[in-house]
Amino acid sequence: MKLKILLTLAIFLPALNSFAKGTSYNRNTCDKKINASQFIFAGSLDNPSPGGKTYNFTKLVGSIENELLGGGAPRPKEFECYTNLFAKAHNDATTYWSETMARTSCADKENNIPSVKPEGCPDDVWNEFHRSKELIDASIARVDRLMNDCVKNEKTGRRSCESRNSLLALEQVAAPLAASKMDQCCSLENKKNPGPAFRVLRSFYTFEYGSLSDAELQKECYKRTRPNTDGVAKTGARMVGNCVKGLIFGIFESLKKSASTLAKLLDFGMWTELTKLIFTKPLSTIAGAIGRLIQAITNQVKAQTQAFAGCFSGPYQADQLCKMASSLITDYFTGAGLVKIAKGLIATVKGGTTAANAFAKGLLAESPKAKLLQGKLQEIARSVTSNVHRPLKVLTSQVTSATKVAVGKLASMRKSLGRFADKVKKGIIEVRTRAGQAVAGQGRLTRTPSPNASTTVTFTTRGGAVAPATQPTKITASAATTPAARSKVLASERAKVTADVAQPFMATIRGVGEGAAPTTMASAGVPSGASRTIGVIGGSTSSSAGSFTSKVVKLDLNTFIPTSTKLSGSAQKTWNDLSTYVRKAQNNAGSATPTSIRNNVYKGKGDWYVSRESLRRHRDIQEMYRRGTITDDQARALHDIVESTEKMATGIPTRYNTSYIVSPNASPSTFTKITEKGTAIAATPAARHATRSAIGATASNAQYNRNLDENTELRYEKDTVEQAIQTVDELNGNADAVKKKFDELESEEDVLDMADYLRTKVKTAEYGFTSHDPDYKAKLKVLLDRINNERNRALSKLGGQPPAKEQDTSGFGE
Amino acid sequence: MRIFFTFILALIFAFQSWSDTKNKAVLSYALPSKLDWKQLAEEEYGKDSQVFTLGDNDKIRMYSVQIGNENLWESFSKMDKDTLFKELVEGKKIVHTLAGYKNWTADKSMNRKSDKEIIFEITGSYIDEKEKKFFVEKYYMTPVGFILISLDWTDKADMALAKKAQDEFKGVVFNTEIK
Repeated sequence: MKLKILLTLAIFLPALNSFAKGTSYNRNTCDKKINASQFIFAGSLDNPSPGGKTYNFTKLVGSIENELLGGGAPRPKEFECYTNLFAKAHNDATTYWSETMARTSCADKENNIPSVKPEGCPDDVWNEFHRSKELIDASIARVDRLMNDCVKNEKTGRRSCESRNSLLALEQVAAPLAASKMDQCCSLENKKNPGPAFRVLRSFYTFEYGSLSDAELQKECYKRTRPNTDGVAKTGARMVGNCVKGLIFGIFESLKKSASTLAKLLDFGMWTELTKLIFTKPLSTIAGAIGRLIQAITNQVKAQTQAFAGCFSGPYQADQLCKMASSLITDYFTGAGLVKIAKGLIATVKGGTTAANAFAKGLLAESPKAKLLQGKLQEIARSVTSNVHRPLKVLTSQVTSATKVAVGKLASMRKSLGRFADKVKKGIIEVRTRAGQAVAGQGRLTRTPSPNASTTVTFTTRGGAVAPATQPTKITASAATTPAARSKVLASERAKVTADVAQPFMATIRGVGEGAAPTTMASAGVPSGASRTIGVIGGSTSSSAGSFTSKVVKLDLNTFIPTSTKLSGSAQKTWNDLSTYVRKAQNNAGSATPTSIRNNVYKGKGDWYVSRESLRRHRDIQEMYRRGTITDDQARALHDIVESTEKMATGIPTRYNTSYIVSPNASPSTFTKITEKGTAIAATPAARHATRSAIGATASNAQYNRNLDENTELRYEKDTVEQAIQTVDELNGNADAVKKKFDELESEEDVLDMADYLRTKVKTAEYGFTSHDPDYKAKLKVLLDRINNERNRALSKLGGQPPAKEQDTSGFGE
Repeated sequence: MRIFFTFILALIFAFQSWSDTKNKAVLSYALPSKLDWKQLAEEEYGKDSQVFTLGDNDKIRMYSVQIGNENLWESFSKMDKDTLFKELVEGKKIVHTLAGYKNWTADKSMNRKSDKEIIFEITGSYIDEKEKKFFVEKYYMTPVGFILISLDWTDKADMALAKKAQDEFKGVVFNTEIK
C-alpha cells in the first residue's frame, strides 16, 4: 500500500497559517530581543529565499524551552520572538522542501510525498529530506509537549503549564480591560474568563463584594461601567472623598488593632508616638497626604489604572482608582510590623510627593496583592522601551495579545494538520514562485459598498479581527511542476493587476500632460480645471509635462512639523514613520515596476487591492488628529498625501473615510491650502489616556477597528464624549483647575502627556457640543489656550523649553 | 460653660480570667472641664478614640484611645517607673528618628491606683519642623487593656488657654467596671 506522507508537509504548514494571522517574525522588534543568527547554521535571515538559510531547530526549540522552564519568569516578548522564528523556520523549510521535492520528481502529481521513493527521485534529495523531516518532527514533538503537557524542569522546578498560564494571565489582567463597553467589561458568558471589570471587582474587592453572587456582582459591574452624565463630577468627587476618608479610617483602625497584641514596651513606645503623629494632625493634612500616596500608587501601576479607565465610567472611574490604591495600602498596613507601619505612616503623613512616590514603590514591592499585580505586569513593563511613551496599556495589549497568539499558535499546530491535509487534497493552493513573490497576500481588508466606488471607497476591517476567519491557504508548489495551477491563478490575478493597477497608474503618470486627471485626485482635493496639477507640497507647483519621476508628488512633511518643534516620543515616532512611508512610496512611484507594485499590494476579500502600509498610515493620521497633533485641514491633507503617494506607488485609487474629522470640509482644496499656509503645528505628545480608539478613551484594537468601520458620526461613542465633557466642565468650573493639573507633575514627559490628554478631552467635548451650543466652541478655544499656557509654564518650571513658538494647535479650523 | 466629659468605652473587653462566666470590663475616663472643647467627628476616628481641639488655631489638642490588651500589664505591674520609661523611650526614639523630631525630652511619674490599675504619666516637649510641641500623656493601664489620653499643644498656641487645659487635664479620672 502506498502511504502518502502528508504529515511531512503538514508539520510545516501550521506555521504558514499562523503567519497569515499577522504574527510573523518581525526583525525590527525581535532583532533587539533575541540573537536570531545563533539559530542559523548557514546563510542569513537577510536572504529572502526559503532555501537561503539553514536553521538550527534544536537550539531554537531549546530557547523556547528555556523561556518556559528556565529559572526566571517567561518573558513575553522574547517568547513571542522565539516562537515566531520557529514558525518562520518551518515556513521556510516547508517552502523549500515542497518546491525541491516537486521539482526533483520526489512528489506525486498531487504534490504529496509518497512513502516509497518515486522513480527518478535522486537518492541524496530523498535522504536529505527525510533527515530534515526527522529533525523537524522531533522539534515539533518537543514544542508540542511544552505547549500541551505540563513538563517540569527538575532543576528549576518550573512547569511549562504554569509558565503558559503566566503568559496568558498577562492577557487576563492587563489586555482586555481597554474595552469600554459595559457588556464586554462585565461579561459572564465565559465563566472562566469573565469581563475585565467583573474580574477587577471580584479579585480586588473581596471584602466589599465577597458575599455577592456572580449575577449580583455583575449588576454592580454594570453600575460602575454605565455611561452617566448626571452630576458625575460632584458624585465622583464625593465618592473619591469617601474613599480617602475610608482609607484614613482604615489606617487609624489598623493602628489601633495593632496595639491589641503589643507585648514589648519598645513596641508600645513606638505605637504611642505613631498615635500622636496622626491624632495631632488635622484630617485635611492627612487626607492630602493620602491623596498623594494614592496618586503615587496609581501612577506606578499605570497599566492597571489605564485598564480601570477603560471600563469604569464617570464617578466610578475615580472611585475605582482610589479603591484599588486603598486596597493595596490597607493590605500593606494590615498585619505589618510596627516599624513598617511607622515608616509608611511617616512617609505618608510627613513626606511630600517624593516621599509618597518612594513609599508607593516600596509598598508595591512588598504588598502581597501588589505583588500579584506586579507579577503579571513586570514582564510587560520590561518589554516597554523607555523612549516610547505610548501608553503602557496599549503596549501591554499588543504584547500580551501577541503572546497569546504565539502560545495558541504552537498549541494549535497539531490541530491544523487535518485541516491542511484537506485543503491539499482539494487542491486549494496558491502559486508562489521560488523567489517568494506571492501574487495574492493576506486577505485582511474588505470594501464597504459605496455609491461611487471609483471615487469613494471606505476601508473596513472585518469585525476587528486581526485576520479574516477564512484564510487563503498558502502552500507552495514549484511553478515548473504545476504549470496548470499557476496559469489558472495567475490569469485572473494578472487581469486584476492590469485593470486595477496599471491603468490608473498610467493615468497618473500621464497626469496633466494628457489632460486626464485621475478621478480620485479630483476627489482628493486637487483643484480641477485649469489648475489641475500634481502639486508639490510645501514648495512650488509644477504643471509642466515631463518624465514620470518629475511628476511624482514631492512632499516635505517638515512644512507641517518644523524640525525645531518638540514632540513626545510616540508623536515623533508616528511622524517619522509617516515620513518614512511617504518617502518610500515616492521612491516606489519613481521606480515603479509591476513587481514592486504587486509586492506592495495585498488582496482583499473582493476585487480590492490596497497596501496595508497605506491603511496603517491613514490610521496614524487619524490618531494624530484625535490627539490634537494636527488640525482638521492638516488631517485631510495628510490623508490626501497618503492616498496620492499610494496611488503613485500602486496605481490604485484609494480613498480613506475622513468623516471622523469634526468640522465639515469647507475647502476641498486642502493640498493648496496647506501649501499656501505652510502651516506648522505645535508640540503635542502622545496621549497617555487615549490611543487607538475614539477620543479620550482607551480601547482594544477590536474596538478601534469597529469604530473604523463606522461610516457615521457614531464613531465617537456617546460615553466617551460625555466623559470628555465632564472633564472639560471641571476644567472650566475653576480658574485654577488647569493649573492644578500641571502643578504636581515632576517630569517634562508628564507635562507633555497631561497637555495632550487635556487637549484630547477638549476636542472630544467640541465634537459633542458643536451642534447644541455655538458659544461652547469659543469657550473650548479659550480652554485650549489655557492648557497650552499652563503646559509652557510647567515646562519652564521644570527647566525644559516650551515649544519654540506658539502655534495654532486648536484644531478648530479657520 | 461647664462641660463634664465622661466617656464610656465603646470597646467592651471580654475576659475570662476573673470568672468562669464571661465578664466584661469597661474602662472609662472623665474630665471635668470649663473650657470649650470641640470634639471631632467620631465617625472619622473610630468609636474607641476621641479627638478634641481647643482654641481657634487647632494648636491645642487632646486625644484618647482605648485598647484591649492583656500583654502589657505584666511589664507595667512589675517594673519600676524608670525602667518602664527607659523601655518606652527606646521605642519612641525610633519614631522620632523617622519623623525628624529633635530635642525630645520628658519627665515621668507613676501612680499605682490599685493592684489592677496603674496610671503612668509622661510630660515633655520636642521640636517638629521648627515648631516646639508639648505634651502630657497619661496611660491608664489594667490587666485587660489601657487608655492612652494625651494633651498636646505647640508654642504657637494660646498659651494661657493651654495652661488652663493643663490644669484641667490633671483632673482626669479613670475607672474600671466589671459587668
